[in-house]
Amino acid sequence: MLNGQTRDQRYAMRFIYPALIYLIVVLFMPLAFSLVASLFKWDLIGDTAREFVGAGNYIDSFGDEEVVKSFLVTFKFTAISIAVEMLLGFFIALFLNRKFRGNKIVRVVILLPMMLSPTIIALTWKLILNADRGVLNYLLEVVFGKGAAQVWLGKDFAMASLVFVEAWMNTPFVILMILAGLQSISQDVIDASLVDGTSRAQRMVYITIPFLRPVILVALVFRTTFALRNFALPWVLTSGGPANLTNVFSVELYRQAFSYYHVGYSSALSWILILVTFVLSVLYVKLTLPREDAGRG
Amino acid sequence: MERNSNKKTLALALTFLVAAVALLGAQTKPKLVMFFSVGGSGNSLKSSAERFGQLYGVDVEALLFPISEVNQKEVLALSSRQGTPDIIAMDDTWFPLMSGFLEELRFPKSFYENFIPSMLGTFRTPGAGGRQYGIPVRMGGEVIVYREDVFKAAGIDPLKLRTWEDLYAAGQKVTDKGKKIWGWVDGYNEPAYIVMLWLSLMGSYGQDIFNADMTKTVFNTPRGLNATQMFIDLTAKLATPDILNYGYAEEIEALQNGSAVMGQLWSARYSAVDKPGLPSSGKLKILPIYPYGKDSGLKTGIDRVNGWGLGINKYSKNKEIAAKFLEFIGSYDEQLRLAVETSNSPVLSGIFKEPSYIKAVPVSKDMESAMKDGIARPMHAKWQEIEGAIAVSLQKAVIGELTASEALAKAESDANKILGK
Repeated sequence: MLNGQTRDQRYAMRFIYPALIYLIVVLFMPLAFSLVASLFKWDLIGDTAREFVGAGNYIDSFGDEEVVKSFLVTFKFTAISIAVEMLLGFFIALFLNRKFRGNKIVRVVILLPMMLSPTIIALTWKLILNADRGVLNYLLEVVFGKGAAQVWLGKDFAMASLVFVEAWMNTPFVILMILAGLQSISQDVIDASLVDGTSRAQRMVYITIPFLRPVILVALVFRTTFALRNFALPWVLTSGGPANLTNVFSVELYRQAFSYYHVGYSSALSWILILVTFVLSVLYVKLTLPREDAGRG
Repeated sequence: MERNSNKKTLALALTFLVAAVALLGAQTKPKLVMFFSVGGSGNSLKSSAERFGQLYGVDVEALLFPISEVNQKEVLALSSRQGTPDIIAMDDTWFPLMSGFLEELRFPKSFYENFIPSMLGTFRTPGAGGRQYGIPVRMGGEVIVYREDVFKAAGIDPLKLRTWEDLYAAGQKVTDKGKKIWGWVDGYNEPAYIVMLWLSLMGSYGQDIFNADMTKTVFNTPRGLNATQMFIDLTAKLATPDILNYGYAEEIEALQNGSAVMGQLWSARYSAVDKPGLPSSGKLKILPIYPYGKDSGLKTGIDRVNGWGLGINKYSKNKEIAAKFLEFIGSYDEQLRLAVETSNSPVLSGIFKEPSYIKAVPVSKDMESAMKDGIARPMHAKWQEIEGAIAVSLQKAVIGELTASEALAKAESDANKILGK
């Protein structure tokens, strides 16, 4: 005899099954397939013979100079762009949390980049940053004279340009998250701290930041995982160049999969990316969230 | 009441039957599907496909995609043994990868006789008993294009430019960095583009890329070094600092707006550069010879013939019509029409002498003469990957991260690693 709760659960499961089946078909099965593929030396075209190599593809990737370099490039790109986005996002959110005339318009304008397609953004910035015909160099030359023009997508500035556009595109997401967090801080807490005579800096350190910690963590995890596997922006803006200076991991992965058709090897690379993203996310959670046993005697 | 309902059911069933028969009937009409690269190549080949459809009553679906997507869609279709697309459009370097999925062509010998041999050979398997799996339809060589008026003003006689060293000196003479006028331009933002110039230089300095059986690269030699040094000098000293971001669109624009005075151009793109109504119209000419390396011992340079060919998907259900289309697009009349009306680069030698073509492309004589010693790019299944590795080393040399000899050694070592995989 089933009790009421079990019957309810079974009934509820009927509504969950379609979504579950969909997830299995479009997510788990391809993931499992790519995991199996990563254990084979398998090219889609050319020499198409499949050979089981076990962890061979994973081991090879650590000896592949361009893959290792692309990892370093990715970490550099991710670290700098996340730092810029988080800091800018935090301060802009603080600014937008204040009451001033035109606040709503400023909010809409600031959030606009988040609503645009990354490919369109990259194409637009590619035109703006063009060394010979770009608007940026034109303006710089008008204001500062001939020597002010730079090769923005050349060896000296390609990474900086990539980080800048990434930050321009994604800071609004951080702003949105932190702004929501700021607005959820109870006014009573602020008022109480004012009665206690706290300074603005003290309120920031002891009230605002601790209250925002979960929000900052979510923004950090989201932005890191997205930046690590960012493809559209680097591909369209620099295609990994010049001389692989902006060759992030996802661009290298794309090249292995869709230019050279190394299905097995690129599957292994994508699993490495999944693992790195997962480990970083766990690390963030461990480091940022207060431990549950903290404060217990 | 019941009889009425039965009648309705019968009428419905009959309607479905008629619709099904009509649909089946519609499906029996042959349909040829093909993908072409968006741009001049695609427009030209698509026009031929559509004309074929009209003349022979065949449904033709010619879709245009960026070149990388054409490659990806075709590779996925072929490797999963799908019959669509029926016609496989191939850049010459794709042929070694795709030949195993193509139908052998069995046209009469007379059909092949008009083709330029080096171009036809690009789509044949190597060796004496090589089999033909495709025909060239839009191929050209690399030619040197220059601004006649600027050369004249600088006192440069283009007919005296015979070596790459001569060309470099001329480039130095016309380069004015302050005014942002550059003595050299080419496409560099794709591995295939950047390596094309290097390959042509290697050939023009008498340097092979592979050993005879193509198991090893052999280009790290003094001749290879001279060619690579020339590549770096042209690129780093005579071109705009943004050159590594230049594709062919930027190259064409630079030649048209006068910010570049000289460059290497795929011959098929010439008509896109010398467009009527522009200030540069009629001023862009082609060197009648392809330059050679000063101490190479050669008397003429060796450029790389490259471009598009068509083959038939082995799994196509419309192989006969597909073969008919290949016969049509490779015919003298259609190639002449394409050359005159759509600026297609001819693959049949006779067309260069046709008055209508000479009238449409006045520099065609110089073009033919510059390309006459051209050879195909390396036909190796791993070429695209090797090309990618070479391109990175060359870029590193251009930005000063590696010297010419370091870049050459690194490129060779990377290429041999890929071959050894």
